[in-house]
Amino acid sequence: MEARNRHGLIELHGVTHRYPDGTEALRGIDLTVAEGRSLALLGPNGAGKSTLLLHLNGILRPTTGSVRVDGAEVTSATVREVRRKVGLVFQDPDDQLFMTTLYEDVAFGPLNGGATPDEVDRLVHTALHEVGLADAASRPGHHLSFGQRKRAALATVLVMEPRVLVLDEPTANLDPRSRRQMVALLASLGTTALVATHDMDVAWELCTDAAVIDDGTIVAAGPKERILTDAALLEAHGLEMPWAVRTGVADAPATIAP
Amino acid sequence: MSPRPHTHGDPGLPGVHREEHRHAGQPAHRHPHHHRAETGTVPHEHAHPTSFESLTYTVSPIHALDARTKIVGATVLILGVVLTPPLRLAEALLLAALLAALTATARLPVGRLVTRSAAVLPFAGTIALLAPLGADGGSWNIGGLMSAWAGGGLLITWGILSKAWFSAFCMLLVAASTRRADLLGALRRLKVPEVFVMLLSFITRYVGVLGEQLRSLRTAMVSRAPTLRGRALLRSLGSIAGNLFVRSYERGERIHAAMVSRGYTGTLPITTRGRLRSADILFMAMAALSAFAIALY
Amino acid sequence: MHIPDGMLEARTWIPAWIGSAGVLAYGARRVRAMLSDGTIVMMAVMAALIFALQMLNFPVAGGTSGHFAGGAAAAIVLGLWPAMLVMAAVVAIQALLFADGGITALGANLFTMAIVGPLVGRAVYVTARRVSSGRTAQLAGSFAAAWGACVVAALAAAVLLWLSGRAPLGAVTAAMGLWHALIGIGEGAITAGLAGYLLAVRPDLLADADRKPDAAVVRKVAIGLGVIALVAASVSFLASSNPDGLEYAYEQVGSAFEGMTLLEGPMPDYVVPGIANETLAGVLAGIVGVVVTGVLAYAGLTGLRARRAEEGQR
Repeated sequence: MEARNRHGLIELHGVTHRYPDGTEALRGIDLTVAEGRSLALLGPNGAGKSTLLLHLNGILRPTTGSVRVDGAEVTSATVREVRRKVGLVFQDPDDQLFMTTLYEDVAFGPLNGGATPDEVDRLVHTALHEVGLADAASRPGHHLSFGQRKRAALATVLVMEPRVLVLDEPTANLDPRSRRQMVALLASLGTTALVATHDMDVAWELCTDAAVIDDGTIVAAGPKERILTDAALLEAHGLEMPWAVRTGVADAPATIAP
Repeated sequence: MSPRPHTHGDPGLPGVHREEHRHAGQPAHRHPHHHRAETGTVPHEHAHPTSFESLTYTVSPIHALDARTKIVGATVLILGVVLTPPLRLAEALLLAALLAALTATARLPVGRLVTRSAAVLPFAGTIALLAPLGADGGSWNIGGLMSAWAGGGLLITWGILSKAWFSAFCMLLVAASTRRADLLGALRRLKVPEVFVMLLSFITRYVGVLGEQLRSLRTAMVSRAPTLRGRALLRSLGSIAGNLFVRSYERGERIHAAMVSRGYTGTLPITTRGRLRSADILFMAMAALSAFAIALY
Repeated sequence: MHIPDGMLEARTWIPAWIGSAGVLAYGARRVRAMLSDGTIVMMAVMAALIFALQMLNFPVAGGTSGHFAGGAAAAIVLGLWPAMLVMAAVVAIQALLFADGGITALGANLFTMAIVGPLVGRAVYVTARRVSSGRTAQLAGSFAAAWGACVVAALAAAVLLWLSGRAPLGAVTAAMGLWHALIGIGEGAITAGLAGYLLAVRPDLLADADRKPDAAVVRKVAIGLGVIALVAASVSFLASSNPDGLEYAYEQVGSAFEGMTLLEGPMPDYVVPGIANETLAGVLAGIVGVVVTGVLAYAGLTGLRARRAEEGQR
């Protein structure tokens, strides 16, 4: 992947992170997401996925190593710009919908960015329309179903028109219908994305590339056709092949296996 | 901290208010969007057991008033009630008629409001019974008691109970006819400090989420140890509180991360809209007039 | 112990409103200046938590139940000023959305539950921690803090009711004090359970109590409470040494002629007020209010300065 793209939209070099209590969550991460690609970040619980995601827009900073977004290293000076470019969607929508109405939640980013009320109105309406919640603007977050809240959380980030979407478990805990809606919605966006997920089918359907993280290091990365068909690799890290691959529905290119 | 009488009826879990199991099926969701929403939507109100939030989606002239109007109007009316000697019959009737008219205009269920506002009575009643004793020297013997009741004691008891009840009803009218977001916006525009409005806003947003977690913890505890009593029960409740505390702390960290991700710099950006219309002015004038009528009559 | 509207006289609720609003507005400013954005967000989530935890109820006596209040718990884990603000928000929501406690009475309810409660809870807990930082001491300290906060807050409410001429001091303090001494056991046990859980799982969240400035706050609070007690004592002395005529007469002859009072009971001074005494009481209530809030503000100020100085050193 790196060979093909000299310049990634997101680049991590030798990133380590040690929490104040001494836990070493990341132990030297090298990872690149190129413009127009979407990367599935796969790994067992506790592998360091969430810690890694929080590095991508500067909420956590590496203990050593560097994170670059669109060529610029994430520092205190660049962090505001970075957050405009990197849209981070949290796993639990209740963490992301903290205002009293959906409108206020979606308007939060643009208002902080200094948009005028009229611009905000327009942006909020567009974003809510995009996720299919245009008629729910005046509702409080807790009046929405879980699936709606997941999409609402996505809207709060889409409204900022980020260059790259970072999604933490976009389909976790969704019922099948909501899950299908979410996958269809994400597929329609077509932005550069990094998706941390346990849902191998989502990884297969949505992403162009995949990386396996375990115990704070990237153990494998490459096109999904190579990573997601490697039964031994996936098995070794508590994962499994996507349903489509297992049943042969997908024309899995066996020749790319390592 | 205040004592609450046990409600009888469905035997709920000890340790969690019983009422909260009932409101999942509460009727009266009149919010227009609820019916349009696609399947999978179960709009549910799981804030506080006695929350009137669902009622705030009713459509009525009172609901349409500016939130500031309602807050100020209710305050003025309550001041009128509180600052007068015990209400005379005519005054009480006037007030009751006014509140009944407002409730009807707002299309709110009178029964629920009356029941809920009556919750002030146990505490008010206790003190109201002490009051006449204090008024003439404080004697617990029969003579003192009888004399107190004979000599205006009843009037004092009536004064305390009626004022408490009327005032509570006024507040409930506001609470049941104003959406939470509008209420918070009004407080902000009435110059309540920013930090404070933020706390209020987070309470209304997250009490339901945390209450849900509390309920699961409580259910899990009861299903493993259904016969807990006394000290053991209290200690388990403490552990539940601690567990929820840690989880809320972590949630706080995540929420802050989510806020920072979208450019948070310390103030909640709110677009305050809506200006006072003639209906608002009229309503406030009416409230003031009623208050004066009660206070000066 | 939510005092509803209509129970307090203007001479009580107006000073209470001004005093509480002053203390809390000041607190809001200080918290804003002192704490990071992240800590304030945390505080806001904690406010929701305390409110949710108030759904925890427990049997008390005679078929009644009390519910967790959380003032002391908030003070133990959040520190004094944040706890006051958090409790103030909880009390305000109860008044605004649930008609628990009123609008005119809000100041008084804020005073008892959002100011006195956390203050006492914090003071007791910090004192216990200074005695020993062992687990037992902390658990006992948490229990005592919550029990003390519950009882003292109830007594404060009783005093406010008495200042309003609603009930004789003895009767109302006895009623409120005894009842909340019972409820306080539940409050204390839950708070101790919470502290025990945190000690086992996240002791770092309790470490805040080791900060020095609290010692200063505790000293000031002790002095403050002493002053309050003194003032309250002298007020009640003044009031009792100058009863109005009817009350005086009743005291002199009442016990001997109870039958007569049954026939022509003296009008209580609520209806026919002894003007002089009423005015005096009003003035005194005002003075007490000012002194109390002054002491609180001073205590808080000193503690904050110290805390800020310490934070500046880091």
